[in-house]
Amino acid sequence: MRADIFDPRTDPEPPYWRELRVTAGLRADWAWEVLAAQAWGARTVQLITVLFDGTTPKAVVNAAWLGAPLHRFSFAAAGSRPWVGAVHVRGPGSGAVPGWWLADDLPITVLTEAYARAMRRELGPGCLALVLRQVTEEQAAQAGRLRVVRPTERIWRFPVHAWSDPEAWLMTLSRSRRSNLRGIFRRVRENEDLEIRIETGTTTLDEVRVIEAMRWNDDKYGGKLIPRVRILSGYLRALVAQPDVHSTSYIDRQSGELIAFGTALDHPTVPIVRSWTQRPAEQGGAKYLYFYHLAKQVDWAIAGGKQWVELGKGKAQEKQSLGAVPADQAAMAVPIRPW
Amino acid sequence: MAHFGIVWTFGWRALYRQVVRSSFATVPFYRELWAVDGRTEPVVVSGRTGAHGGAVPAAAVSGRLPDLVPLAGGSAEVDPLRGLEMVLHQCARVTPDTVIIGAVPPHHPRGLALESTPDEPRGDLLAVGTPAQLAGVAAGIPRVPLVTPGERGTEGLLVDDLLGVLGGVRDCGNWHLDWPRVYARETPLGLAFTLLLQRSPRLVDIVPAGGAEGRVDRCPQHRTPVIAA
Repeated sequence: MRADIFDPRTDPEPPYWRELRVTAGLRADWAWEVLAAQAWGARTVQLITVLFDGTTPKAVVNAAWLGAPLHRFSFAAAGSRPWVGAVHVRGPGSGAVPGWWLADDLPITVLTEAYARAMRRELGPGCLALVLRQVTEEQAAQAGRLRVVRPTERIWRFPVHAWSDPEAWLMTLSRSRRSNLRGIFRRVRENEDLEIRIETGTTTLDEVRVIEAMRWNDDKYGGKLIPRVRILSGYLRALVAQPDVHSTSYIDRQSGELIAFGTALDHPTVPIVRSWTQRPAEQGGAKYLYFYHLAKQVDWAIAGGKQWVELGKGKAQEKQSLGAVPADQAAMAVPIRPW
Repeated sequence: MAHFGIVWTFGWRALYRQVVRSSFATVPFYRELWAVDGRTEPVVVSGRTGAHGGAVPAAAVSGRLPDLVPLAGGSAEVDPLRGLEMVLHQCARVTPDTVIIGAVPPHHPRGLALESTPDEPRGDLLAVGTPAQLAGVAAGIPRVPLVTPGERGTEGLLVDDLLGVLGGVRDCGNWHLDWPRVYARETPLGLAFTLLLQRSPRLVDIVPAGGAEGRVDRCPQHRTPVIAA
């Protein structure tokens, strides 16, 4: 198999990319300008690989080249690459979906064989291992004998196909959650000061304000040892400008301040509810807006005839109480032969 | 202060290049700006040279101070009188007995507010403030006006709200930069200033509000950089 390897920071968009995105059902975070902005704002080198059978693209993989030395407090160097490390395959924006797409007739061993060899050629003999995230048990079983599989945090998804309308969804919830949600709907409806702005493919979003809001989340969830890397406003600008991205801003009419912000990436069958950030309670934030936001995403998905809605990791109790179901995930590490 | 050794060993310009490289690697604002548009002297992404050589008008930065903090963290506060202590001592006669009226540098033992200026000046006095503030000060008191780089005349200190005190007129009559702490570079937007020793918020190639015309030259007497007309 022939492999095209791109660094989206400097390489121009390949001519077949748009068509390939449609074929593969890759969401807005795979748009080339979004990938470029994301790669500039990452701590590691991000590589996009397209595998061809003849002239037909058969697989797309997004990976980070995680190598030594690792820098906690700097973006990836522009001109150099680490010489020893591992290739970490993950979704470019969301950790909830795999970082690869394979044509229907291809097994996952394409990644551990053809793809791993291509990366070994590109990155040199220091490329020691391949790490795949969001692998299912069956996929892990197909890989070769030498492998390490570890379960990772479960991801949560709404089984939207099982609900015919929002009322049917509400009826599947526990009584307390249902009455709580109805109360939330009423509170939002009666709150004159709250403005909810839903925009699709917007170029007028004040992304600096949203980035500022995202810092609250970064500080809340970032690790002490390795903090979250600050998201670039250029990335958010490129992402929300995609025609299949819905951004929801919750704004206080009185002060004009942003209270909360969320994005959702559309897809014919499985949209993703991506980032959610809200003001801490002591600064006028309201926890119920998270439930409201998710409920509105369910409404939207049911109306659009979707099958599932991906919610990602974390907040298990809240998501479960809203009717989401967990999916077990694993990470798999495979050594790469140096020859 | 650790950078001083580098200044003497490798020079002012080398330190500037180091600050540009470090800002591109660690500060979100410059990362985005120079990655997408590019910059010159030095070029950080080959083939991308940017709109004004990478210089940024102060107005474009004012709402984005948190993005000027490096990834390792730091302060997002600016001091509008940063560097006053150093520059004032170079540009005016200041002793510990001098009573400074108006903008008093930190750690100076004697200071007075502008409103409490004595009607009959006695002792060693020095008034420091914007020309408007100094208009109310008694005529006999020596004064140092704080002027913006766009409106500089023949005396005083260069001040910008974002960058702080950038330099001033010394005894030779030239506009001296606060060398080696401040770097100035000629760009299509005018002079762009860099604070070489301020880690956070990182200010690199900022064109002060109101612009700054001129070119960077060397003072024949002091042999350090000055802004020539």
